[in-house]
Amino acid sequence: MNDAFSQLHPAASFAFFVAVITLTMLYMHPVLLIISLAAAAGYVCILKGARHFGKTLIYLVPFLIFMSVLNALFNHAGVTPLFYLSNGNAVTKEALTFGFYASVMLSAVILWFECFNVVMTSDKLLCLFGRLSPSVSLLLSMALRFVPKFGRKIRSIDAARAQIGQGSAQGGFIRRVKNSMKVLSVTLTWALESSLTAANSMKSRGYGAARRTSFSLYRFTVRDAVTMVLCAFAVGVTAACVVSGGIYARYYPSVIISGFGGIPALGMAAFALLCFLPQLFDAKEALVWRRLRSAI
Amino acid sequence: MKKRSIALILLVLMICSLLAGCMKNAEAVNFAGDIDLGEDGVITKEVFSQLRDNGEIASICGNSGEISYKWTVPGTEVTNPQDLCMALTITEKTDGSIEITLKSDKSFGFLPTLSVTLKDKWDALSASVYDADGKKLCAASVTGGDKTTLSFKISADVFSYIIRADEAEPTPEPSNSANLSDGSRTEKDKYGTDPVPVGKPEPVEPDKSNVDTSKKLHCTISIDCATILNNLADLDPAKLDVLPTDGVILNAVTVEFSEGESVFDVLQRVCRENNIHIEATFTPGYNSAYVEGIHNLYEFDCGELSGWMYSVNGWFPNYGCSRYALQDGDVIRWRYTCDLGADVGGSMVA
Repeated sequence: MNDAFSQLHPAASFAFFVAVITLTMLYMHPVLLIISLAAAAGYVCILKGARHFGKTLIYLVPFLIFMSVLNALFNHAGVTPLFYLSNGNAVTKEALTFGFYASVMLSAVILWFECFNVVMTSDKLLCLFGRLSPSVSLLLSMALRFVPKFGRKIRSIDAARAQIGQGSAQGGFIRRVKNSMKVLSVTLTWALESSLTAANSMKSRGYGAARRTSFSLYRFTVRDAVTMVLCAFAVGVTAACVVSGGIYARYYPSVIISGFGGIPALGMAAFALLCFLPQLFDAKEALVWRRLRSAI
Repeated sequence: MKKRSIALILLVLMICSLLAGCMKNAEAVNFAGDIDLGEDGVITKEVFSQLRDNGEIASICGNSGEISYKWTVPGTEVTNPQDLCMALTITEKTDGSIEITLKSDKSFGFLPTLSVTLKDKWDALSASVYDADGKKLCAASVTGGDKTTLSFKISADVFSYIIRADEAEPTPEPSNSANLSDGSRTEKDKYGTDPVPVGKPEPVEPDKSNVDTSKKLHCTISIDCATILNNLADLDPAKLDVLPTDGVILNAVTVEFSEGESVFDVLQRVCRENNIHIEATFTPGYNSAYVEGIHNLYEFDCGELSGWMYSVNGWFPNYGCSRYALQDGDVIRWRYTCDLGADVGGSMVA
């Protein structure tokens, strides 16, 4: 992962994700959705690699098809019947179309959240919301820490047990289930004990004696301000185009989708700018790097 | 790697084809709102041009004495905008008929729907429109609660209309197989149906009725949504595209059915034959199909008290349409209500 966008101040990254996910969910316009999906897919490729994205596609594509079919089976509105079900209701082109774009929207949001999880690490979330509520942020940081911590512990217990022939991958099916249960039980006992020690240790170090501060290394620079202004500008232009009726999509009873006049094109360009902001950022960084390198 | 790129290409192709299939330059129809006829009753050329260019539907309202009227003008049908006097003189004759005279003798060039709201309730289920010579032109939809509204599409080059209530059709003689209510049931039945009024047919469960395809009978069925014309402001704007401007989805037709078939069976078949969209779901709690939408006009599309209701021989049954076993000669009317049935004569609040 070599991504300049995730080096931004947490507030800028957070504002970007809020803007892009909200707009994707609000406006069901096909062009906006496809821009969002493409940008999200591209960003997932940058953050997690194309191989990971390929794996995601394996469940995303069937999901797309499944969703549109499901919608058409339960929603029969629309003026273009394709064929009739045995209960007399029609499967319509409009319901299929709507289902398809609804699933495009959902997949785009899923991909954006994948990016969100990579970019917005727990320390960034803490930096953002730590000051709002110290106890919640402490709880959050401890809870978030538990997931990788348990994973590591389970692996080490399993490795230790494998040495005495009781690993979760050894023996027949029933043996393996039994061994896995044992590993889980050991982990649970350990977790209970460790939480008690953690509580005792915190108390003995004076937790709760005074107001806690949090430490983070993020500085809000001009770059972050520019990002946030760009986000706000793009959201404003897109929203203005939608509110004024320039970008318009309707699926029932007949599909009507606004064309590509001046105003819709402007809104779509603004939305594309917003969605592709991380890639633009990376491209800019790459250009700067090349220029610096060639100057050496 | 190869498989993945193929999948990607397929995805992009699918998106492109869907996009191409859906791109239409058609603009959605909007409701322009109520336009008041002034003193002189003239609507100017500019107003019509605007309606035409924006593809808007407008309600043009006026009144003649205590009788008010409303023109429903679809802008898409206006081909040649011009100044038009759309005022009317409406008089109630002593024999109960309504005489309507256009003040203008100029042809409109398009055929709007006229809805006349009388000053009180008119006791008729249906009415017909005649010209001055007594020739029948079309049927008029009768809607409204305390004040009856009569709606019909005007005819070309006719400037004087007379609306008369149709003679009430005699209720067909019930056959021996009909199970009429004698008032002995006083409790709700297991599907929550209140006692059926005396002399009206008891519900027949669809799973217990025997359809005898060898016995062919006839009934009349019509579907209308004229009440929407008076509540255009409440209608979901997306549905203006599918709204028939005269409020008639299916004019009364006589169809054949097999003995034992229900109102729902006939509705579904007639809709399929006439390519009318319909969506219905079977509701086990009421043991009947519930009609959610006909012609893409759904329940709640025109206010939260709106939806489809049916009447047979003028009576709105208090049970679902799958449980009404038809008799020979029955007259079925499916009507869209915007007021829980009060505007189509089927109010449950008796």
